[in-house]
Amino acid sequence: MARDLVGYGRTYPVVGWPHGARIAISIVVHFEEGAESTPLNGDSLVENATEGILIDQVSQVGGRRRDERIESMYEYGSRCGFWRLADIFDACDVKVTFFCAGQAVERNPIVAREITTRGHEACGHGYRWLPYHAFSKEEEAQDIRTGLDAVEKAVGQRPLGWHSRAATPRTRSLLLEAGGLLYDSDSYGDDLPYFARTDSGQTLLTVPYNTDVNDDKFWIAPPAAGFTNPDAFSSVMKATFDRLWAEGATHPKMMSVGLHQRISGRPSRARQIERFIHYARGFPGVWFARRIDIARWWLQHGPKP
Amino acid sequence: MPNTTRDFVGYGTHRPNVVWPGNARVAISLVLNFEEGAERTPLYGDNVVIAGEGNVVDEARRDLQGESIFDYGSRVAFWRLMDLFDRYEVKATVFGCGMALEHNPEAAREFIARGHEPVAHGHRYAPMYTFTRDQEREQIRKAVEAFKHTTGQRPDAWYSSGHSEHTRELVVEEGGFTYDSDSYAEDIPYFVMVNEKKWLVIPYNLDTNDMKFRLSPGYSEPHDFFLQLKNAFDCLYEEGATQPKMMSVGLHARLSGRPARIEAVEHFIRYAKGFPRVWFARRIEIAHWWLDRYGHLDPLGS
Repeated sequence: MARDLVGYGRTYPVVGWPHGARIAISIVVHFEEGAESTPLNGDSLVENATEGILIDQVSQVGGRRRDERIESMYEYGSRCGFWRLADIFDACDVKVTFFCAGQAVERNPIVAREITTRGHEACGHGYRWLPYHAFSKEEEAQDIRTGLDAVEKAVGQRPLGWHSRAATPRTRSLLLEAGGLLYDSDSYGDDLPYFARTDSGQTLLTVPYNTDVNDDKFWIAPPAAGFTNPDAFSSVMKATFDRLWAEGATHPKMMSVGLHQRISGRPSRARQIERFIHYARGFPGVWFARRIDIARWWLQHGPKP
Repeated sequence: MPNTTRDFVGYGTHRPNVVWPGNARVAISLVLNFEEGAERTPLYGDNVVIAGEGNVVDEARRDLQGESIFDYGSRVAFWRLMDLFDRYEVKATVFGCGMALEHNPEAAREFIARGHEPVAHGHRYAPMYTFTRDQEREQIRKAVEAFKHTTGQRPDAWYSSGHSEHTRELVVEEGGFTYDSDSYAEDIPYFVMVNEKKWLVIPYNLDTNDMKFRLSPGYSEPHDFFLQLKNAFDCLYEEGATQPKMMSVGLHARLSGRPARIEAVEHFIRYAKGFPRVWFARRIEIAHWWLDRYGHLDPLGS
């Protein structure tokens, strides 16, 4: 699969958003808890994204030892984090997109239903929450299909979007083969949606995501830099909003905010999300949208592939 | 001959009394590293993958999402920074990798058109010390070719992403460069001897550099980067009352060109512009000034 380092270039498109909004804000909540790597699920490795427990992946191989402390950090996300965040979204009246791992929603069907009941979007995020690199093509295709089926069954609606934990050059083709998807979010390469090409030359709308306005920086392991305190994440959200809102006067943009139930659903961090929503609401021309709403708008009003 | 010497003394007690244009107390060099599309990925035959942001890559397989972090730098963030520099009427130096320019020739032509300085930064964004001497020579040649091909102009100077004991000698041998920035060892330019030739070094640094957004311990939020820039400026400005200095600010489109972080750069430019006697200069202007005024200085370390 080729890369496109030029994109829209200097002729950035002016497409705009509903009601003349200057910025579309997509809040994303990752719902992965229960689908992460653990020997309990037959995996050889313990998930190494944790709140402060350092896992040496190499020495683990062949060990197949569960780490119940880490598992319980994930359980917290599904049991407590979801409810705290969902209540904030209700109180602020915003609809968001949940990136749902199939096995995670299966493990908590009550929460899965709640996503639809409250009007949020369930987007496919693999059956297992695992990178696809170690998968064969057949395994990857199977995980995509099973993931979509599991989310459909648990939340009551077939996902129309997709985000991989880590995509391979063939992922986009496999998504088209699976069928029924309007967009993916497997790119961090732009501020606006665009049509991405698969390795076989077909196109799929990609609604780009990002890794800097993302709470996983609270959990990131060295040598990468993370957020040292909740205000650091607040300032990144605010600075991103300020810049894109300013640019949106002539070139409306989109902003993604990446959250995880087990991370931003913590008592120490949830308020930052609520404060950011209030902050953004204080400006005119702000459209809080689910990714599917952005995708549909773009398919109708954006440049064609 | 590989360079196996080190110089711990430098100017020592014989620091030159530098006078910058306009009697400036600090010369500020903004550097935009343009590496996107030249980084190592199996797509280009490498067996190493480079992390673009917080993603940690531990296997030699394509990391598509990681690549797209670099793509963002070339597609979107580059333009955001270009517009910022225009708005504040500052000219920067672009450390460009040949292959990055080839992947986005429009951007390459644009930074030249807007008056920024072209400096070659390898053909690939890979440490020179990972190459053999012959491969290094090839890297330098290919980078020069890519600059000529995409911008019609050859690069003024050279900066490696990790030089080897051979690099400086090969850069001098290639010819056509005015200086290199392969040193973090000084606050002001200096000469060294390279095979009987007096050679100018304009030092760079990695602390007032946005790369710390992706390193731990690093910048946790944009304000951390601003503080680092401000503190460095304040110190050099104070010293500059009697001993004018230079300050390099290292930027990367994929990092500082993110919506959240460009504020730190803008804030700093505004801050520094609030002081009298500050000279925002491209490195080549600093180099020419140095050669004109201080060309008589002895090379260090000899």
